[in-house]
Formats: sequence, structure tokens, C-alpha cells
Amino acid sequence: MKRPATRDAAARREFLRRAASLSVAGAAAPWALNLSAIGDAAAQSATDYKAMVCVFLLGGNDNGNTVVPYDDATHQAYATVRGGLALPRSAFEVAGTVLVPSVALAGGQRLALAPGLAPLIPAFDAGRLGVLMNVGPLVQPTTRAQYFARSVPLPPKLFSHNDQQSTWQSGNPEGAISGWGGRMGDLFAADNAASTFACISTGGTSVFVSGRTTATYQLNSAGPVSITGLSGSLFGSAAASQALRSLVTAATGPSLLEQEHGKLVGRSISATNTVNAALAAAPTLAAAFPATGLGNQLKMVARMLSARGSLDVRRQVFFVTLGGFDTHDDMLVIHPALMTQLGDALGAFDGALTELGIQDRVTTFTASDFGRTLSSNGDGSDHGWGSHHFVMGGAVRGRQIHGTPPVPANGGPDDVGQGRYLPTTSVDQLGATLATWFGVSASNLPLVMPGIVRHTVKDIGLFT
Amino acid sequence: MADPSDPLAATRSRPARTPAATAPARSQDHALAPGTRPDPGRVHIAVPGLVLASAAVLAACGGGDPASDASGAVPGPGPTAGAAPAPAPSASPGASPAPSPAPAPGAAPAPAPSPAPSPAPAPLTLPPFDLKAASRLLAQASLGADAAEIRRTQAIGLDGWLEEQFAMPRGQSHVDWMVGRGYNVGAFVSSRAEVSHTIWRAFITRPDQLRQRMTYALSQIFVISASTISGPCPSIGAGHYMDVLETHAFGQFRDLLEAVTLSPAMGGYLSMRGSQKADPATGRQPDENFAREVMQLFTIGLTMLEPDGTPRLANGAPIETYGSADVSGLARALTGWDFISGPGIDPATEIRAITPMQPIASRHETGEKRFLGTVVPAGTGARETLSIALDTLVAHPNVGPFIGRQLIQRLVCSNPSPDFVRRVAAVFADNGTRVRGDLQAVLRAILTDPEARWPDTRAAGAKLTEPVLRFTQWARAFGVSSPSGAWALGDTSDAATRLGQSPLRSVSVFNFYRPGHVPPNTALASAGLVAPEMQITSETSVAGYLNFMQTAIGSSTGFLGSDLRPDYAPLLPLADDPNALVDALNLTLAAGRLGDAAQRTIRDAVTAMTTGTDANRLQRVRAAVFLTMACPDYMVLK
Repeated sequence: MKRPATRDAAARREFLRRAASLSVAGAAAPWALNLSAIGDAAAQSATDYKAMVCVFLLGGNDNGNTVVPYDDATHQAYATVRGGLALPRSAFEVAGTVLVPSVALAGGQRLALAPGLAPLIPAFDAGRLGVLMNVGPLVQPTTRAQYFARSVPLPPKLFSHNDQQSTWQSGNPEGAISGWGGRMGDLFAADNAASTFACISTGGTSVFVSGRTTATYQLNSAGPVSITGLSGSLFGSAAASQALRSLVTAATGPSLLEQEHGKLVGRSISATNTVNAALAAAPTLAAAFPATGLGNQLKMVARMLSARGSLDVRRQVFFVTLGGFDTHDDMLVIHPALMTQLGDALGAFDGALTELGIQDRVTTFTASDFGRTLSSNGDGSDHGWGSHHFVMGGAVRGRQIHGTPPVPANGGPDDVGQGRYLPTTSVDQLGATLATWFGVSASNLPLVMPGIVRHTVKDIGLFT
Repeated sequence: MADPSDPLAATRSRPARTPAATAPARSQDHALAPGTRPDPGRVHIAVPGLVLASAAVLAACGGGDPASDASGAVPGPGPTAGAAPAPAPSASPGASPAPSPAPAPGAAPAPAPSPAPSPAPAPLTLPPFDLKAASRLLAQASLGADAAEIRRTQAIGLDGWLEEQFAMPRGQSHVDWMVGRGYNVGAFVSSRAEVSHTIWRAFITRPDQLRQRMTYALSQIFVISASTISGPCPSIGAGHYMDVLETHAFGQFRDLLEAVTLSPAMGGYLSMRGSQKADPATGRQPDENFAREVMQLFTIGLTMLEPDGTPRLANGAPIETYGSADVSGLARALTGWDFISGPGIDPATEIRAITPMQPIASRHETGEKRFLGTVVPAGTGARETLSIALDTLVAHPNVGPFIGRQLIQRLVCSNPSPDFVRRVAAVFADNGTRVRGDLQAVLRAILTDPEARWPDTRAAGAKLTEPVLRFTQWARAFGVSSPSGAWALGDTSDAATRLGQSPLRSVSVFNFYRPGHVPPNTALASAGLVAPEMQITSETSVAGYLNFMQTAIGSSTGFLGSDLRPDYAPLLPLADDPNALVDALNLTLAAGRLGDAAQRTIRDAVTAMTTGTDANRLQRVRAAVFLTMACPDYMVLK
């Protein structure tokens, strides 16, 4: 759909205005340079609605027991490396999680999902779920020989939780101040009249949904929290209640910390009012969500999607989290329970999107700090690198295995030690592909995923 | 006699929680008039060894411009400064009625002028240790204080308070308190709430406040979570862990690190417990969890540091401190440890949760182990290997700046200047008697540093006070008690309904927030400033905090399932004098930081409230307390 030129011009002006508002500060200098290098920046506009949902698995998901080799030969190799952590083939047969992709893998390879992910099988079979094998941060395409020779740059601080979380979300280790979800929010700022709701996290502070100019709105999974003392009377006094409002939102404090705190409280108050009104006006969802942390978060996202008409937004990025994946210990107890929680919640969310009739407009994907070692440490696995992830939604080329399944072997072609996989698809490629679906133009991709310039393949074909 | 300029003078005294205040009543104090700030240019009292440049002080604690911090404008000790102990900086003799105590043996060396070139500054010293300064010290170094404690601290002075605190005997341990209440038997063996009860009890009532505050700071560096540790009696195990931190809070870093490493709580949390040597037959490898995090989080960090805590660069890039081979080598070295077991050890009791882990020789890797340039010869046993490993870590030059900077951030400000970090790290390296890792000396160095003592109104010199500390400050300021003795407030982690934070219950080993957290999309980020506490500050948490505090402040018989209740009796006499009420709260809670506008707003609101009965007066006091604690001016410590 073509937009009137005036609207594009307005979008560009708004984009430049917001970008310029930061450029006085030193930290924004690289961005300012980037902006001028791009030249004719860069605002995007859209008339339709799309949303992206990142499900971040905190702690580093054990890829080895999430998407598992099922054919005899590869399962045998997997079981040899995993030792006591290996899941038997029968587990997948009982759970019904053996994948039947529309295009079979080469060499008779077959894959199965963790038994707890059984609720995802209907979405897979219906073509709404794709499996992406061995994705992780890379500075550039990297071979195993290059890794060991350190002959190409590698992502800094590999295997460190906080830094790899940040790298997945932003492209840089801890301390990064914008992530690729937020940078997409920046590009579509002019289309989101209520820019507060462009980037929403129900899973705590996250750089992923922080743009250069777009702030994260943190939403409680049970709904926004109202400040009781503002409801008209505080300790029996209307004057005290009025005083509270003026004090907490004061953004004129003596230093930046007081000012930022005041701004945040002001945003909390106004967003609470807006969101509560929008949720109250939205149709009630029939879809039943599990009463788990992730279930509650995805239910809140579904409710926000259902209320999108009142929120005046055309592009939204959501961030939800599930913690507990750092399974150094007790993995065979902890990991299956996490898979069940993930499968139940994603399955319910898939159902809610069908109910809302917006399957084609919402893409959900998983991410995590890193994968884990295939080798066992006795009863768990240690920090790894490449991992397997899911992309779900009506626009996804589902019922497919994307990327390249790694070879489960110590010293194998994908192994950089103890069954840590060297990624064969980079997060930059995943992000650029998602951004392209979202509507980001080819020339703007480097604004969202700067690292994509070092990859020849910029679209890994996840979408129809 | 009370000084009429003392905003606390009219408050009725409650018996001090702290033992015998020995200092004489002050005949004079130097509280500034409300709303005024010390003017650096008007303070000229010289303290030997502590001559500061005004420009340097203003550039201190980070400054607005990182480049100017690197100029070395603040005098700091040279590399050999530890050789000449000098009296710790103190309040001006004229301002403090109590004589400064003689420096204790092992006292931290005072910062001495550095040989580094600096512009000839106007000589300056610290502001007088008035009531505001005392209140501010207690905000940095305690869990909160009431009016009497602030007056008492002002009277005995900074050094007097530190000496008192360092010498103060410890009270009943967390484990003893919990066992005394039967939390080690029956349904309690799998319960996790009780450790929070004992922590609230200790934080709110214990007189050894500096030790409690240091313990809390250490619990945010050596992180475990009472919500997720494994093993029997998790509450007792977590309480034992707090006891371990408390035991070593003023001790030697090396001892602390070993006690933490072998504690059952940490053993279960970071899974060193049960880690075994590699088994070629099954492909099993040692567990790398603790080996990695003890380096990344507890000792040396990820990148090589200069002595001032800034990253050391090679060709413009940070230098990583360790690689995968160091992690796997150290993991091999730390194999073989497990909870205590054997004859007489009943695993159903709390014994395994309170006894250091023991080595099992058959599980320990006896081959050669290499990490961080250290080689442990083949055949070395588990205990000796552990000793070599911890010695190696503690000897690493990163430890002083890495740990020192984080302690500064927990106590004083989020963006300490490199010079502040350098001074503290130098004391970590050598306490003056060639002892490395003396935490008492490090604490003294932090709290007596000019950058800690000089109020700094800019963002770089500030920190957002975390919700737990706001709550404990309120509880201590207003004599919160638990008549049943149960202190059953429990877990306050829920951001929507409680504090969004609960001691010893971080969601991961990376603490509630990261020391390097830059709040995205803020002016702080644009200014290149970190603000760790902003990582747990959200649209949800700011509302949850206010609602929680409104409930707590308004309670008369308890709140949220507990019987905790405040006692506002000392403030009731001020309820009909809103000026005096606001002055008292501004000093007690905010160390005088409330701006004129905030003071006026609160005063006007209180004035508009009905009075005439004690019930009315109580509401006035509650409203004034709550409004004070809602102010951004209050929340930001500077």
C-alpha cells in the first residue's frame, strides 16, 4: 500500500527530530554519524498492523534437549555425546513430537521436539511454526578453523550470560543502550501516535525493546498498577493526594536521576490510565492460558493485541521472558518442566492469535543467552553458543527446518569444545529477516542490525 | 539542651536501639538552614593530609565528563601511599565536640596528595560533620536511622561512629534465631520464607548497622537466592549464608571467598557441589558453573582493569581476563566437593545446610590443572588445590578495583571517579600493614573518602536508593517492631504489590541489577552514566513501591500478613507545626536533600489536613512521611 508523500515526509521529519534530540550527547555520536552516513534517513511508514513477540529464555536454553535428532544414526551420535542427559527416542514417540516437515532433511535426518513442546506440533503441522537450527551471535560468517585460529573477529565475551543476553538483543555486550526491537520502534515512530506502546516488555528491563529514541513500556502481566494514593484521598486528605501527584512526577530535580525517575512515574500514571481503558474496551479473549509466569505474560500480550485498536499503534514489539534455563544441575528434572511451560504458553498464544484473526500479523520467536554444551557435567550442561529456536506465526514458512542441523559429535564439524556449536546462522541474519517482514526497507536494515552488512545472505527465508 | 536550630530537637526521644551513646550532649550543631546547601568555597578548615581542590571535588564521583576524570585532578595516593598511615579524614575539629579518636592500628591511610600534576587549586576540606552529614553517612553505611541515632552519630563524629561499629559485638546469628523458633523441623525443612523474616529482623533491629549494611552489600556481589537454592532446609541454608557474609564483613577477602566457596548454599546455587572429575567413558565433564562465575562476578571480572577500575586497552580494545581453557581448568580444580555426609550426619536435619562442604578424594581431578597462568601439579589434593586456586584469584590485580568499585556503588554513588576507585583499590592492595584484602580497611577507605563525604548534587555523584533500603530506612526511622517477634514480612520481590526486591532473592547470580547497567533511552545513557538501581525501576515497580509504602506507613497493627508496625509517637508533637514536621523528616529521611519546592508541597498538604485530635495528627504524620518518601529528591542519595 502506497502512502501519501506528505505522510512519509512527516515520518522522516519526526524520525530526524527524535534522532537529533539525542545527538547533543557524546554517547549518541556514533548514531549521529551512522545517520548521516545513511544519508536520506530513513523513517518508515505503514498502514497495516504488525507485531513481533520475542520470547527470551533466560539462562541459556539447552538446545540439545529442545530440538533432538530422531533418526537412528544421528540419535545414536547424540546419545553418545550427551551420556546421561540423552532423551530416548521413545520419549518423542510417546509425546507425539517427532517432526514431519514438508521438505525432508537431507540424508534421512529427522528431528523431534522436547516432549513438553507437544502443544507446538499443531502449529508446526499447520505451517505456522518453523524451526531454526544453530543460530547465535557472529561478527561475520565463521568457520571452525577460523574460530580456533582466531583469524576472524568473534563476538566479545562469549559464554557469559549477561553479555550474550545483551548481544542477542542489541548486537553488543552489557552496557548497550539500544536493541533491535527498539530500533525498529524508532523507524516506525511516526506510525505509532502513542509511542509509549511501541515497545513493551512484560519480562523486566530489556535492552531489546529499547530504541535510540523509543523507550520501553514495562507492563505487569496482571495489568498496569495504579497508584492508590492518587485515587482522590491519601490518608484521608485530598490535598495530600494532589501533593503526591505533583511530587512523584516532578521531572525538574537537581540531577538526571531525579528527572528520569520523575519522567518514569509520569509515564506509569498516564500509561496505566490509557491501557486500563483500552483493555476494558477490548473484546474478552476466550483462549485459555496456563497460569504460569510465561502464560500470564503471553496472555497480557494477547490482551494488548486485542486492544490495539484503542492504542493507536501500527507496529509493536513485545518482549516476554521465561527464566531458569541455566541448567548446570538437575537438568533432567528442570528442563522438561521448562519445556512444558514454554510449549503450553506458546500453544495457548497461537490459539489466541487465531481467535483474534491476526495470525498473519504477529510473528513470535524464541531467543536465549546461548545454547549449552552437548557434553554432560554429570547432571547438567554448561554454557554454549549456537542454539535452536522457533519462529511462529501465520506469515512464517512453517512446517520447515531452517538453517543447518549441526553434527552432534565431540570434535565434529560444528563443535568448538564439549559440544558447543559454532553458529551457522547469525542473530544478525535472524533479526534482519524478521525486520524485513516487519516492513524495514533494505536500505534501513543496517540501522536495525548493523552487523548485517558483514553477511551476504540478509534474508534467511523464514517468511512466505 | 536542645539546639533550636536542630530540626530533630522537638521530637520526643525513643530509647536508642544502639548501645550506650557515650558522647556528651552537643552544645552546638552545624545543621544548615533548610534548603541551603554547603558552599564549597566557604569551607576553609584544613585537615592534614586532606587538601582538596574545589574543582577536583566537583569533578569527583564521575563528573559529567568522563574525560576530565582521567586528568587525575583529585589528589590520590601514589602507588606507595599505603606506607605512611595518617589519621583518617574527619570532621573539622571545631565542628565536632567529640575528639577524633587516634587512628586504630591498621587504619586506612588517608589520601595523600599525589605527585601527579594538578592545577594549583584553592585549598578546601570537608564540610563540617553536621546533622545532615551524619544523616547522609547513615544512609550510606547503615540500614537507616532514627532522629536519636542521627544526633548521636553527629556527636561522636565519623571516626567515632566507625570505631564503634567496627568494635561492636555481633548479635544472635540467623541460624540460631531460626533454630530457636523451630524453623529447622517439620514443614519448615522445605520452606523458604523464614530467612526473609530473620533478615528483616536483623536489618531493622540490630545495632551493628555497618556490619549489616556491609553484609547486604556483599550479598549483592556474592549472590545466591533463597528462592532457588537446592538442598535441605533452604531457609536455614540461606540464613547460614548471611551469617557467613556477616562473619567476614570486616575480615579478610581471602577468608570471605573461601567461606563463600565452601558454603552449602553457594555450593548448591552454583553447582560446585557434586561436580566430579571428567569421566572419559561417559564423556562427563566437570561442572563449569562456579568456576566461571567466581571469576566473572566474585573476583576479577571479564576484562583487565587499570588500578582505577577503568578497562585496560590493547589496540583500543579491552583485554579479556580469561578464556575457555581457564574456565575448564579451574572447573577441574574445583571438583570433588559435596555436602557433608557420613556416620552421624543425618541428612534430614539442617546439618548439611550449615556445615562447609567437604572434599571427596575419589571425585577430585588429580591430574595437572592450569588456569590464569597457575599450574597445580598432578597429585595435589582437593583442599590444597582449592587453596592455590583462591590464592591465584585473590592475587589478581583486578580484584581491588573490581570489588572496590562495586562496594562504592552499593554504599555511596553509582559513578565513582577513577581516582576514588584507585584510592580504595590501593587500600585493598595494602591496608598499611601489607595486608591485601582487608575489608575493614576498604570500608573505612570508602566511607572516609572525600568523594563519599562531600555532598555531590550531580547525577554522577548520586545513586538511586534501592527499594529495600528505603523500606528499612523507614522501619528504623520510625521504630518498627514486631510484637510477636516473628518479623514475618517474608519475600517482597513482587514489583506490582511489594518492593520489587527482597534481600537474598535476586532472580539470578547477576544480582538485582548490574554494576554497569545503563538505563536505555534516558539522559543518563546520553551522559554515559550507569545507574544500576534503575534496572529494577519500571512503570510497574514505581507504583508497587508507593502502594506498598502507603500500606506500611498507614499500618497500626501490621501489614501484608505481618505484625510489623511503626511508632510515630516521637513525631506527633510536630504534627501541628508542618514546618517543623517537614524539617524533621527532611533531615531524618533525606539528609536535607528535599528541594524547596518539595518541602513547600508537603508543608502545604499537611497544613490543609484536619487536626485537633491525635487521630488527625497521626494522619498528618503519615501523610508527611509518605510524601517525603515519594519524592525523587528523597530517593536519590548524593
